[in-house]
Amino acid sequence: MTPVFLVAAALAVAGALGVILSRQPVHSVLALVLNFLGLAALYISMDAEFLGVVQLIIYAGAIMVLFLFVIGLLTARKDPVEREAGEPLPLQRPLSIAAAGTLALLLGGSLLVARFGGRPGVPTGFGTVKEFGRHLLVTHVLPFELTAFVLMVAVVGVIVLVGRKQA
Amino acid sequence: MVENGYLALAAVLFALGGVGVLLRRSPLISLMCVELMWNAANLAFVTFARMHGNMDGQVFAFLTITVAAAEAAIGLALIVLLFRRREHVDVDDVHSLRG
Amino acid sequence: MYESMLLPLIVALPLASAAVLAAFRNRWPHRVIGWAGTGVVFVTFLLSLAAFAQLRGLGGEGVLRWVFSRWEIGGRPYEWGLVLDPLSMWWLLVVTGVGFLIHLYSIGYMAGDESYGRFFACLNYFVFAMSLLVMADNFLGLVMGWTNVGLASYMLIGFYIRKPSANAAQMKAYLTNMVGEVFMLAGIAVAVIRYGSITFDAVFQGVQADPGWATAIGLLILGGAAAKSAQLPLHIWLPDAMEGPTPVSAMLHAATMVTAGVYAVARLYPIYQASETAMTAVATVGALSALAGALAATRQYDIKKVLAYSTMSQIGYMFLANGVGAHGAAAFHFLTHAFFKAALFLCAGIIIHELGGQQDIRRMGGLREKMPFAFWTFLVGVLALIGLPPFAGFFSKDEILAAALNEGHYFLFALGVVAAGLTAFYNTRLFSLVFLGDPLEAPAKSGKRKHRREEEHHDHGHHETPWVMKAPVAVLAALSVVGGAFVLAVDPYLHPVFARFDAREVHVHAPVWAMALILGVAALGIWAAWALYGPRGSRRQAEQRSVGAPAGLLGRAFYFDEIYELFVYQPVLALADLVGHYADPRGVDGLVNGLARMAYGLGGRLGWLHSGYVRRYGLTLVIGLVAVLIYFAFYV
Repeated sequence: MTPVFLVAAALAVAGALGVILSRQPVHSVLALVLNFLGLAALYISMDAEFLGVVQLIIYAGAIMVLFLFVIGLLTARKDPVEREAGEPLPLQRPLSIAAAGTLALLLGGSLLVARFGGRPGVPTGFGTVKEFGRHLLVTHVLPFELTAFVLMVAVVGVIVLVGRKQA
Repeated sequence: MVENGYLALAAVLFALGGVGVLLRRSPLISLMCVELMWNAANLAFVTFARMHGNMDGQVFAFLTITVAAAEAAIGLALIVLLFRRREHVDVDDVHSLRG
Repeated sequence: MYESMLLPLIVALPLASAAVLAAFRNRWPHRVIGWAGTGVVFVTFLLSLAAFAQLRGLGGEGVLRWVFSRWEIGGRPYEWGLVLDPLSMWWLLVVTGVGFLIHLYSIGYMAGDESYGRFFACLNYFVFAMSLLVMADNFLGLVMGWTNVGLASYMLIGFYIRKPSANAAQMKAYLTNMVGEVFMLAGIAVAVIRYGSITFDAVFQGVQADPGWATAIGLLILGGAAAKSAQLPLHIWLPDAMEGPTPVSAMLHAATMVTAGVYAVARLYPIYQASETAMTAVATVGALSALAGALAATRQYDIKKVLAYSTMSQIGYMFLANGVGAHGAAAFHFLTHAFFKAALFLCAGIIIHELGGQQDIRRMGGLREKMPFAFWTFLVGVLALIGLPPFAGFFSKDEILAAALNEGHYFLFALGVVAAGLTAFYNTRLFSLVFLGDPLEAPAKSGKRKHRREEEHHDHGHHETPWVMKAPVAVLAALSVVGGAFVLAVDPYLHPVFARFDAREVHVHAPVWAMALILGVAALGIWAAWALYGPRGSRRQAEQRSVGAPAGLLGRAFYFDEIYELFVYQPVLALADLVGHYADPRGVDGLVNGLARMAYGLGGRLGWLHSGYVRRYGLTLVIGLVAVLIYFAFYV
């Protein structure tokens, strides 16, 4: 357990808790950014430099801005704050917390004690932009192209969904 | 091994995201919690990539980020649609699938 | 063993022709359909002759083979193909040769029928099915041919589809044959399970030291053979099968198809020879059928039914031959019988045709002057059937009775002799009533049985008989005269087949006293019939009944139909009633409805799970995930 890991993990958990506990959506978004910052630090600590940067730029940058934009758009008209008048579904809250708690305990506990037959060191150039690019564009070029297709479908889908006459 | 901590952290984040989806009734927050779960999975991918010294996990995480972006776009579009129709938006309002 | 491409051609050609004719039955003119169907069978006959030459070229033990596919089930190799050995060849030549003549005859006989194309398609299909049957090289192929032949018979008996009696007859034939087929399949199943192979040879080797199972297999297969060959007690369908057009009666229900049982027993002779009981059963069934058929034939009024019962009787002789080990004699009698019985049936067809659908022999009489051609050919056929020398039937029947005598079956020999006397009696009666003297009843337009479709186009009174109908009859009549000459060929030719598992010497001629006895009994029968039914006989008093009156024990053929009605039909109906009223609504419906109610109730109880709330679904999902995790964490 390195100090970097401990700090970043605390950051990520705090961010996650912030997301699910805050009342205002804007606070949730900010907590999520905090979580992403922690994750980016973890990535970099694991030699995934490129991925850490991407996490910051795309997630904490682009996607979160999108969320904020939507919140702003909707808040301009109405109050998007949810009606938190208790829990309408019976037993939903205790059951959910129990189930998720068990999940975290079991999965986390078993992962914590598990022994994996990994290699101690990493090859040279592991996680660098050059190496990552070679893997992405040479070895896995077909999935890469397919994600381009998925993105295009998403764009078209969004236009079809929202881009009605009045919009 | 140090990686075990990373994996356990991923599990905890995943469970936190899940409990958020189950408890919060605002679709925006639900969507954020789903993003949390995506990221927990990504963390596990990156950890395993480091453990095995194999870049494939990182590439997969990258592709996941792309798909998550697409998902966020679609999800937000749906939320905008819902807000147009109703005063308040609550995940529980959408239950026409009731059996 | 010699691979020959002629074999698949012989089988495929009539099948393809049947398909084409069926497809174009309403588009092509009748002339084209008739000659095409006939031509194809002629080509098939020529191919069979070529195969015959090929087989002769091999000499001795050689057989022609053609394997279609091989496969494996449960580690046992199976194959399906065609084979021609002398025995198959013998049958194949008759099937295609006589089949060709009957096709030719049908061109004239069926002229003007609206379903002309269907008729030739079915007839071609039958040639295919019969070829398949006789060329089978294992039990599987035998069953395939057997079933196809049954289907062809079904379609042709009920050819006049708008005639209720024909519909009933076709169903009766099919069901009776199905009963037999169940026995046969059971026998084959026993053989396959016990000896682990469907090939004839493996089973033949297996039964050699296994007489108990040989008895079981032989008796079960005899059930199927008896049904197909109209032997006691499964013969009831044959007289009704005369509802089909006359060429069908000649081809299927006299010359070829009904001898499939004879073929099966001859083909499977090692099974029977391994078991004395099975042999005796075959011989007894044959002799009793020969006698019963001949007895029933003495009191029939329908010209075709007389011939039908006589067919049953003659096939009884073939079974008797098989049962006493004279398989060559059975094959020989099959050949001569195919000649003279086909000639008789076709001749009857000419008479029916010219009289405009009349089938009742009491309304015929004195046809000698009107139909000289039919008179002479019918006379030849009758003499051959009675078995007077030098006609063909004499040699074959003589050989069968001689074999029975030599094997020490004196009682069966006596039955055969009595049946021979009765054969002479009913044939003389038939011939005399049809051609000599005056009609018993005034000729009427319609017979006792309504033949609506046949009448429709035969209704214009007297028909000229075209040459296509006369030529086949003439050929067959000629063969009935000289066919006895095959007596010199049959045993040496078939010897390689029957010598493999059989050490007996079967070809022995009857002692002179036996031959004289047979001829004397036949002469007695002729004399008695002449006295009763001859032109100057007391034929009206002998008949004692007018048209339409009930026909008594012999006329009803020992009341077999009534017995089956009482002991099979009624109990089955009662059982069906029981099932329909109690077992089905309470048992089966109760079970099904109970299951439905259970599903309904379960759905009602589980419905609350399907609340429509996404978060609920998510919770269920996570709980399921936790359950899986618990399983993996603690139990794996």
